[in-house]
Amino acid sequence: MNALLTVEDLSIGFRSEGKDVTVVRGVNFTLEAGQTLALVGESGSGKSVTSLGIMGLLPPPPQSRTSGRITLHGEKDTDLLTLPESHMRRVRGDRIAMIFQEPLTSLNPVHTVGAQIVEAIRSHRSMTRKAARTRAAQLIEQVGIPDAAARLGTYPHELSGGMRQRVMIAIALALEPDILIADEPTTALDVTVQAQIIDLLRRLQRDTGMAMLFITHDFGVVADVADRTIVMYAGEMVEEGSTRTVLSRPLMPYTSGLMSAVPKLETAGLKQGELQTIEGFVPDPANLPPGCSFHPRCRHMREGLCDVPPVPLEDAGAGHLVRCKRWQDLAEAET
Amino acid sequence: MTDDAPLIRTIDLKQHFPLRAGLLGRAKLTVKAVDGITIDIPRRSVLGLVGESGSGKSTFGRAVMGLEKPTSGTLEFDGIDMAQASPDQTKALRRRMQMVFQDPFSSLNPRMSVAETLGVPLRFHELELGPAGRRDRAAEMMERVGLPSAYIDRFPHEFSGGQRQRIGIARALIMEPDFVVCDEPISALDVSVQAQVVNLLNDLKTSMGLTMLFIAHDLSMVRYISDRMAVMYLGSLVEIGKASDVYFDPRHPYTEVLIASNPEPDPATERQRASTAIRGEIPSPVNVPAGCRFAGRCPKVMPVCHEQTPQLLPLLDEDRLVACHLYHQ
Repeated sequence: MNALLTVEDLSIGFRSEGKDVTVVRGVNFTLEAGQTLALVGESGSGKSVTSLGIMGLLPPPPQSRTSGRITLHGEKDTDLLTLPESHMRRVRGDRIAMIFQEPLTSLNPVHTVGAQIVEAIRSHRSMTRKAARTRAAQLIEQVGIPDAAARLGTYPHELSGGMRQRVMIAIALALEPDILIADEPTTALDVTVQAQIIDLLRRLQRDTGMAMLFITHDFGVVADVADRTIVMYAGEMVEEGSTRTVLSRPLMPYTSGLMSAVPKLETAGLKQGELQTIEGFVPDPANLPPGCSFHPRCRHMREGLCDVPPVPLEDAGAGHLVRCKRWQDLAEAET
Repeated sequence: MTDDAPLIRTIDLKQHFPLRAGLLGRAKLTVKAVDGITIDIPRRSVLGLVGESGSGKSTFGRAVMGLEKPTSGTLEFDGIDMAQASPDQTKALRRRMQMVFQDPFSSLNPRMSVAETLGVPLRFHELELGPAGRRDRAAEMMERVGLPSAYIDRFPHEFSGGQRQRIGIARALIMEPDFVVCDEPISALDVSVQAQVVNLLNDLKTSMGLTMLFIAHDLSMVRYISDRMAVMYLGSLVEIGKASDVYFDPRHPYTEVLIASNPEPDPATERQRASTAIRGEIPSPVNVPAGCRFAGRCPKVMPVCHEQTPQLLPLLDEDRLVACHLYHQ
């Protein structure tokens, strides 16, 4: 397998009210061709900021600070973090495209759907307006919007949420990118429409062979789409592995806690009020607890161990990484 | 009123909104947001109301709260027809019903401290309490919803989303209401916090003897808190039954689809499963289709579905109501 995208020791910070706040800390991962990698976490985990860093969409310094390295296969080992904006503009769309949670705010309300797709194509490819329009109609059809040719003339507000997200996907696919970053693409949609969009993304990935970086808070969606999964908490990776391993045998107490906070069909026998919770809430990035960031909320916390830095990301075998000082004794206690 | 009479009863409740169209606003269209809902909510029970956006579930919640005057139909609270109630009666009934909103960011006044927010309903309804008395009641209520009363003088921006929702719950419960409408109270919260809020509502329901209407789109969470579950589609009810029966053994094809669409965090079942996605999206409530409203998207559609509107009727030998021609022929 060849690495399409490599993120090495990525840290991202912002300047807020005169203070420097680091919201992504030392993130490392690779995305392989044709693979779907999920970044899972709650708000404040740093998952969306990581994707904005890859896309070069962070505010310029000094409002933001980045360190580390992001390399894209075929870009002569240049670091995307230091790439000039003119070059980055070519990478964006052409090599890496992105779709967002709320398609209504991502689409321009005063232009027709067709005009927006045509613009996306023509800003990167020399193509006649007519040819671009034909291509736009093909894309609209490919993303499952019925009556494609007629739909090119509609405005975003005339479409439902699900249809708008399909338009966003059509724009993202217009330049046949190698990587699609999907930031909570189904969170604002109803479940029946969410299922349609996930089906569509899976089909498109199969047909085009693109890689996907899928950002979500929903383990159900993760199980549906991802080959590999990274769980993030307070700006750090806390667990990584194949989706099957992470979901069926989570080693980090945060991962297992999150999963048992969601009712499952399997837990049918549970009575009301037996829903497990994680006490407390995500820490303020300007004021992180020492040692493991999760320790104040963790039911397995041991004083003098979990609150003492450093807490390294350890290899539990077969590419299953976990950031927990107690993962071994917790795994033994379980068996 | 006897104790087994329902606290809330709606009979063929309709909430239509006129929509002006055409050059002079003459061609009048109607949004049939709630189109004939008949349901009881028994005392000290929780009714879960689920459906997609556009199903009319929030409009129904607002109608039951008396926030909108219904277009037609009857709404009874504790046996009193709300349309016939005198102003004094209405005021007395109002303090017995409260609401918890979805967004704990926009539903709290950013310039009011917790003490002030919780003091507002007391100022209206409990005139004999002085400022000190109101503050004591607010502090007591904070502890009940799991917030340290030391935070009483803090402002909304100093709290996390989950804590703000606790403030919203405290504000609803400080008048010790009998009935609470929770409109998507957990949808804006992080996963780890959702379970905390659901468990809190469950505890408060028991300790305060509350009757609740719990509106949400997430069926799995609704099942946890509800005794009965009602499924709504395009302004009308398609299925009502015991919450766990509806969840584990859905009868209406729409309920089946809703439950099957909810992804499970189990890779073994998920990636191998056949696609559960159904065609189409919820139609506009302006153009309600003839016959069954779900017929256009239904995987089990029959010719009769496009012609006759199915009635919400009980199934034989079962505590369940379903509006579907599959069961009533």
